[in-house]
Amino acid sequence: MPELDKTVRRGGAPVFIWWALASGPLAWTFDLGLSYALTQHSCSTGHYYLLHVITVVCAGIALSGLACAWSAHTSLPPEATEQGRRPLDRTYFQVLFGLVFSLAFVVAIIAEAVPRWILSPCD
Amino acid sequence: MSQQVAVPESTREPILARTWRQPGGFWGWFQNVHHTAIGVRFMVTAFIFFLLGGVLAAIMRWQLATPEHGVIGPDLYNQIFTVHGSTMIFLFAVPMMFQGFGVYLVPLICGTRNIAFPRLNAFSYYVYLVGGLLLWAGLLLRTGADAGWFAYVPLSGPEFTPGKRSDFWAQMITFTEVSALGVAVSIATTILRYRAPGMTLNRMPLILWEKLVISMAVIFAMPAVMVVSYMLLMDRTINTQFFNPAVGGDVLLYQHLFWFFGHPEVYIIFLPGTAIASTVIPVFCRRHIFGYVPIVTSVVATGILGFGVWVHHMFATGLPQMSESFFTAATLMIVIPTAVQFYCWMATIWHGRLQLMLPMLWMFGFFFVFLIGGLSGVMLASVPLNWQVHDTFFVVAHFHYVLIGGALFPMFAGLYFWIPKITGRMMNTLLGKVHFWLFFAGFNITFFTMHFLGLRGMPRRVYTYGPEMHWEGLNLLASSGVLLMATGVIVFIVNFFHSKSRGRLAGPNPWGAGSLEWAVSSPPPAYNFLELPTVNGREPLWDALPNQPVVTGLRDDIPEVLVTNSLDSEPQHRDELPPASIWPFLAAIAVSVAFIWSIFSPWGVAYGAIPVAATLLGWLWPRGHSPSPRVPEEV
Repeated sequence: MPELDKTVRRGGAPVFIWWALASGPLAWTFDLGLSYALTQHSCSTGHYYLLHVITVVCAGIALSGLACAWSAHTSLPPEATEQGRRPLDRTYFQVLFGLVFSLAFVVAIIAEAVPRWILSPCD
Repeated sequence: MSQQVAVPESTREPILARTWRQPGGFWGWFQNVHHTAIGVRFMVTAFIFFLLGGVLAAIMRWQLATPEHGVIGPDLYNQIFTVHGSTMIFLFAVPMMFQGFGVYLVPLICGTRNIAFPRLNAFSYYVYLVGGLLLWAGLLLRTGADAGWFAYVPLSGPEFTPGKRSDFWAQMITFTEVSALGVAVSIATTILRYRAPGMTLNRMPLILWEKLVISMAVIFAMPAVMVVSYMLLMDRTINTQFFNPAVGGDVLLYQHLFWFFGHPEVYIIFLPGTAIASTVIPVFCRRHIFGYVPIVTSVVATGILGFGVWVHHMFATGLPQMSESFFTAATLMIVIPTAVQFYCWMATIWHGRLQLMLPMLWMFGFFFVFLIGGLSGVMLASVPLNWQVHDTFFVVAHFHYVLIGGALFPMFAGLYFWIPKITGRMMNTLLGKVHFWLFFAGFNITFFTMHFLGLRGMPRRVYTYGPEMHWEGLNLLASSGVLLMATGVIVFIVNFFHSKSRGRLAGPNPWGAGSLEWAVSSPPPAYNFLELPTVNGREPLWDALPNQPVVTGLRDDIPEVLVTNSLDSEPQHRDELPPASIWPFLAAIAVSVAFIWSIFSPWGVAYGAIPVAATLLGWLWPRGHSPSPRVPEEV
């Protein structure tokens, strides 16, 4: 991934690394907010599937962040270290952070999906 | 890069001391904008409020020690528990753990000479002080707030709390949250732009990560409570109907907005405790922290997840079961990052060479107490149990374990750790140990007992109970623990004053710690660092090269700091900070007049804006130095 290398060496961070960091929290925020707001609506209209759609879409967004982090992880040169001073090392740290972070929020979204299978929105 | 003319240190020191001099005398006190002075003021003021809040707690426990006790009546009891809770949360916990420690330490740990926006920082202190005095003036005038520290409507509304009691509370919120917001902006900017060269994002000390996350949490959470307290104030003073369901208002809106702030607030109080843990533990284990990346990830995740759990405070309000379950899931999830941090601290201790000195003793107390609070929190995340023990002493026990465990124990660890830096003298170890064991025993006697009182059905916020309830034994036991805690705190105060004058001289780095505040003398000089440092690792003093470069190129004759970029802390340019000034104090007085006036008349906002605008004009009036073309460099 030459683009990654070029941007990193300039001292910046490529957009997809920022996406790896931001997608998990964003997806989880939407999942929680939309699910909470639409519970009564899905009860009154009978559109129970709506809540499952929200889970799938939001989990997909968080997974896209995970994929970005993984792709960046495999693209970084082997000399990158977690504690070094170079922009490359800082990027490696961001990528590790993004991997753990997006995975954590995928798990959070799945945890919030469980009640949808057990409870009815009308309870 | 320009040529740096070598100036001998002996010549530079007096120039720097003059440039960064903190004004003395009576008026000088009101003009000082240096972060060390303001940080100490936050800490001392917050500690005084802690003592006052503790006195109120002792009066409550005295009243509840025996059935039908007549120490105080129901009206005063209501005021006391409200002012106790409000004091401990808004006037002690956040100002001490976030503002006090943050303002004092962050610039030193970043390796810079002052905090960003020092006048805003000083202004924040004065508005906080006035807010605290306002709440306590209400209590002393027997018009103290009496609707609980969260002042739920309709109880706190105009119908059920006539008079000015809730107005005092609502406006105290505005004062303290303006203060927290001002400090959050200053701290976040300092961390993002004033870090020493080499302190890249992946090498930032954990305490800076945590202060950054807390600052962001403050910036996002505090507006919610300011808005809701102002809505309450408007309902009460100009007859708006935000919370009146009869005309389309919504009572639950109050709870949503309050707890959208209220639960992140728990983490705003708790994360500084973890920041102290992540700083203190490596020092006394003589090794780098285990799991830097997991801890950073956990702290950031906690800061974000903390915004998605607020509804667990509202499980008894009749929300749909599925909606509650989303928040149960989020509440259970937030345990994971906290547990990750615990495991990392344990691993650091396990793999290190433990030195059980005073700060570590308090750390072990923190582990024990907070763990119990966390476990009862997991129990409360379950809706059925939550319903069963809602509004009982079980909840009182839980949140005291969380807040005292998560804030007070780390706070004492932090005080014993950093007081030598602040005063230049070591605290007495024997008195410190006596303080710890008295407080630890007293705390557990008081609050562990409350779990059983709650399970036996004793509701919170009752001023007395009948003998037929058979709660007297447990209540007497809980009250007796207060004596031990109070004695412990008195021992700490004696230790502080004794050590301040007669303690052993601390020297720059008495603990052999690795962060930058320990690179300077104790107490630090007004300019903090003679040469701005550069950093070669996560523990700058431990990882320093034999000839670690320093930053040159800053002028000594004006108060300049180095601005670096956020990601890689590469030097970018120099920033001249404003000198000491009376304007932040005058602006705080003007703002206070406007806020307090608005309790009595809505015109207070309009007329009060005039002096506010005048003082801001004085504050922002341009006066500066012509920029020098030199760019700082590392040599």
